Amino acid sequence: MHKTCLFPIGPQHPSLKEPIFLKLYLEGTIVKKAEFDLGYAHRGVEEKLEDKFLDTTLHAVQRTCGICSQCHSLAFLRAVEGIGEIEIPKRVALQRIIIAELERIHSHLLWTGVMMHELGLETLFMYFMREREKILDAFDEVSGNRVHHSTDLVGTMKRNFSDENIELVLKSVDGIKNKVAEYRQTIESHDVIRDRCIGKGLITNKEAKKYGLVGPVARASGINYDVRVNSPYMGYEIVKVKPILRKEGDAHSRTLIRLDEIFESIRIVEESCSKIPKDEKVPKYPVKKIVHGYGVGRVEAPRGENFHFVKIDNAKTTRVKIRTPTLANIIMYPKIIEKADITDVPVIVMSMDPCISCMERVAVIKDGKTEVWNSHELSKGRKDD
Amino acid sequence: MKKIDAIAKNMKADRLISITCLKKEAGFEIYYHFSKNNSPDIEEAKLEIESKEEVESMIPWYAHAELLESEITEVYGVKFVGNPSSGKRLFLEEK
Repeated sequence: MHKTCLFPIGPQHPSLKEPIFLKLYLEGTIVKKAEFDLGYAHRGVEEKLEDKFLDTTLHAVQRTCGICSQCHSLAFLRAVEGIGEIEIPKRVALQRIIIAELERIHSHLLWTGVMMHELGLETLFMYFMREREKILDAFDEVSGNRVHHSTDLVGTMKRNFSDENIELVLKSVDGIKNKVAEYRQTIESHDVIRDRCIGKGLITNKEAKKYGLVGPVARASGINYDVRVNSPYMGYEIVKVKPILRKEGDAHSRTLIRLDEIFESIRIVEESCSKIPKDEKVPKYPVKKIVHGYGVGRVEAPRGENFHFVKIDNAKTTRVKIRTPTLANIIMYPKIIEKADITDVPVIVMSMDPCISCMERVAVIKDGKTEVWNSHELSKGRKDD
Repeated sequence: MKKIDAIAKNMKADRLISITCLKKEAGFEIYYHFSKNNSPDIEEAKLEIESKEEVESMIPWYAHAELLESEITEVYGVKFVGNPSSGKRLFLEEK
């Protein structure tokens, strides 16, 4: 008879790139029960967005996540521009989605690299990081920032992309095409990758529907849902997106679907660049003053649907609620880890592409000094003496 | 306890997107946002509750409501009847 023992993974662990505490109850090497603890990366973002002018809020919102900065910016703007009934010009719409799609490419490249690291394939990890650098160079060229691009303003953007900018963006995406195609073929056929991923972390179509999963995780289980397709916004009304679907629902299909999405994003970037009207300029800021109202906005982030609820009173945001894609998907973690072998756990967890810092939104920075608040203090909105 | 079965049944949505809580002078406003596969729009339902009033959980209709409700319980103290997480999932436990 086997004895059940507790095997802790995290919150700091080489197989996790962000802090999450997994408690695995093992019988031999099989996980009988899994639990997780969160809260190691809470920063109080939502609380700090209260009572701030829109440009300050937007600046903070764009820094919610270090990987998908633009998708938070767009979800917030979709809500705010909806409240103010602001129609954005074609150039702004297309410039915004060029950044969004470059972000998706860099996010998927980063993720695939880390997934290969989890599988012990360090060379592939380095190859994916090398290709990602080309996209980060493109960000540097168009925005001046490699990570937090911060190119948007309410109703407009900070600058017009020049012909030279567009040329470098096209050169960057063209430069990764052949290499990523080659790596994809390796990942699809490599025996070690197939053995470690096929049938692992299985999510059925029924489960994906029941738990409201989003993004590539849901699409790898046959859920035909992509915000860019189902509720087109900004430049996606001009450049149509072809959704990429698979049915297997395992770690391997989640890997391949992200790689295929890189090629679709490259196509969207190329088409968007060709459609930017040369005779149009981005409007001067501010476009319109928004005083009261509330609205919602959702966009397709690299990890899935990202949702923002925004309430404005006296030209200040009084409440911003952010539901990130990881918050929608994390409920599946214990379910897909249970019955797995302990050696497969890092691969299964990574196949979900968790973004913990993005999901945990609530340390507070006050007068340049960082404070860590507990949940009791957060609920009161002030720190105990 | 505030019943929400009418919201859940009448909405006939494919997915619950999010639950948002707003603090008012007396009580709270809870916004439920839903998505339908055949519609580009977000459907919304609003619930107004008093300070210590409890709310029926959305879990029987949408299983993933667990963490969304749990976060509201942790931050605002609003209790959701039928939610097993009872507000101890997203923040570190107080020592």
